[in-house]
Amino acid sequence: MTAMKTRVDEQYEAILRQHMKVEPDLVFQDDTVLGDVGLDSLTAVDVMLSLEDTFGITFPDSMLTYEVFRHFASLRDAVQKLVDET
Amino acid sequence: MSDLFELLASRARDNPDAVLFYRGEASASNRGVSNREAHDDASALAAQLRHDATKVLAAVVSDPYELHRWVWASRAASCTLALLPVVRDPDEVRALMAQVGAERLVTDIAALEELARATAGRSRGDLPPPSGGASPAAFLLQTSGTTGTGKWVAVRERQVMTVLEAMQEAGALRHAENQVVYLTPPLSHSYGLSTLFEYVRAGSAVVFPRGTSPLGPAGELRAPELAARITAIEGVSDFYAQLSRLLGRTPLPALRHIGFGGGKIDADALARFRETFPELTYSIRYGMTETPSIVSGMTFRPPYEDDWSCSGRVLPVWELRIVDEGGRPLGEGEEGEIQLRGPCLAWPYYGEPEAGDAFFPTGDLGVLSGGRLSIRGRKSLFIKHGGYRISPEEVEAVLRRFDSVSDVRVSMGEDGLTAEVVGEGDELPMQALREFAAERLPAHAVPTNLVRRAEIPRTASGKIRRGPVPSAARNHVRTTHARTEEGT
Repeated sequence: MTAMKTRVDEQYEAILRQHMKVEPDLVFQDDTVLGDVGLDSLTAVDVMLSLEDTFGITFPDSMLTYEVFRHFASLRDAVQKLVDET
Repeated sequence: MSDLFELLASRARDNPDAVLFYRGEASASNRGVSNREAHDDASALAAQLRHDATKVLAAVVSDPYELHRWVWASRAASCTLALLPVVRDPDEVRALMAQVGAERLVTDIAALEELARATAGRSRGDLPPPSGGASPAAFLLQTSGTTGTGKWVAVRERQVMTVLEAMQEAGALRHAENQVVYLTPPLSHSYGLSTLFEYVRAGSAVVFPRGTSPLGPAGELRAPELAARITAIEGVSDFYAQLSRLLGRTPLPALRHIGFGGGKIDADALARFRETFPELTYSIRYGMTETPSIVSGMTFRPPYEDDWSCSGRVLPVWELRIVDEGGRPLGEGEEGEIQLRGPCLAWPYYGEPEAGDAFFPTGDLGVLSGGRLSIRGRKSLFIKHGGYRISPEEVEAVLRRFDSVSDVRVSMGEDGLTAEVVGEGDELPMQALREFAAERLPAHAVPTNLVRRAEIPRTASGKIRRGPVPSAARNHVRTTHARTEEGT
């Protein structure tokens, strides 16, 4: 492990903003419920594909759960974990 | 086969240990639920229904496996099953139950459990059979339509059986044999319910989406054990649009067949499937809630020499005619409204007077040629504009292909042909979208106005809600002007 692992934060948020119909002035909090700000099954596909492409990761089936996709932080942490493991 | 429950009973007798469906985790150790187990379970539930003398059972069930048990049980007990949409408000459910005279509710929705308990074991012996004097309906299904309020369609067991047997005789169930089918349409819809019976009749095993993936039913196929098991898929165009985007990352090694519901094949999805799987068979079906199962069906096989716009041969149980706007029958190759008649027609609607020998106006436009039917779209949707007839669905399909467009509705507004567009990000490049449309559509079909919307209203079943168009006066781009401007 090195200390130089990619931090996903900024790109992660940009991807969410790109695919979800969020108001431009919405400020994501860790506990923002993604389903309340426009994430549905259609946008979730786009978000996941974009996250996979951008970070070179693959979401295993075990991470395609409502729990992971519930909050801004839960999805971000999952992406970070996959990036760290890569 | 004499009745629907016999479909299951005969499988339990002839192949007791063969799998009827797979439930739960898609692990390799999941051996599935056998014909005998499913049969015994349904028989036990049916004994309960008989004991309570239930005549009309209402189901508001989100888990398709749970609903599937009640489908068989209601047939075993010969009671009517009213398949309610999944609503969570007890008052709304109570009102729907009153519409169909349902005495008892089964549900897996927590908010409705109290209502279900209050109705358990209660029976009212004085209820009239649904739809007047004839034999009681096996199923009551709601049609949403694209406008207006829902109506109930009363489907009789004999009608379902007759169409099933006609399909079998016409060879229209061959694609359903020896499959493990991923059945994505809900069982409370005619497409889901009829495909269930078709695949069970053809001896196949069934897998339903479990509702566990935030990516929807297409996302569940990312589980390798599930994907490895599936040999056939049934779904509507929205589902395939999603699945086709996941294709490269969702190996489906055993897939042999794809069934499209909804009358027309989604051309974009089809192109992606054909690229990934060069040897699949594809089926298309034309039918509606009022026609239990199909009116016509067609299977496309390699080398795919048939016309993809064709919906197949009309089953002999239907008397089908094509009429012009004045209701006069049209000839071979002429386009008009499809009208239907015959003993399998579940129309007029529940509670409405009998229609005698009247034809049912489907509202769909089609052409009959050499006994084969091609569907052209919804009659009510066509827009007359500048001497041309425009199909909003076709214009929508083109605009939807534009990268950052996630949803779109096309209609005729006060200012001309209007496309309401939902974008994926903050910016939706309207001028580029206009050019994109102009390159791909004839000039008369290019929307005059592009209007940004937060969302497009849809019905409970996911169809675009069509109706009066809101004024396009604000927040729009008039595409006939050289200058593109976005309002506030």
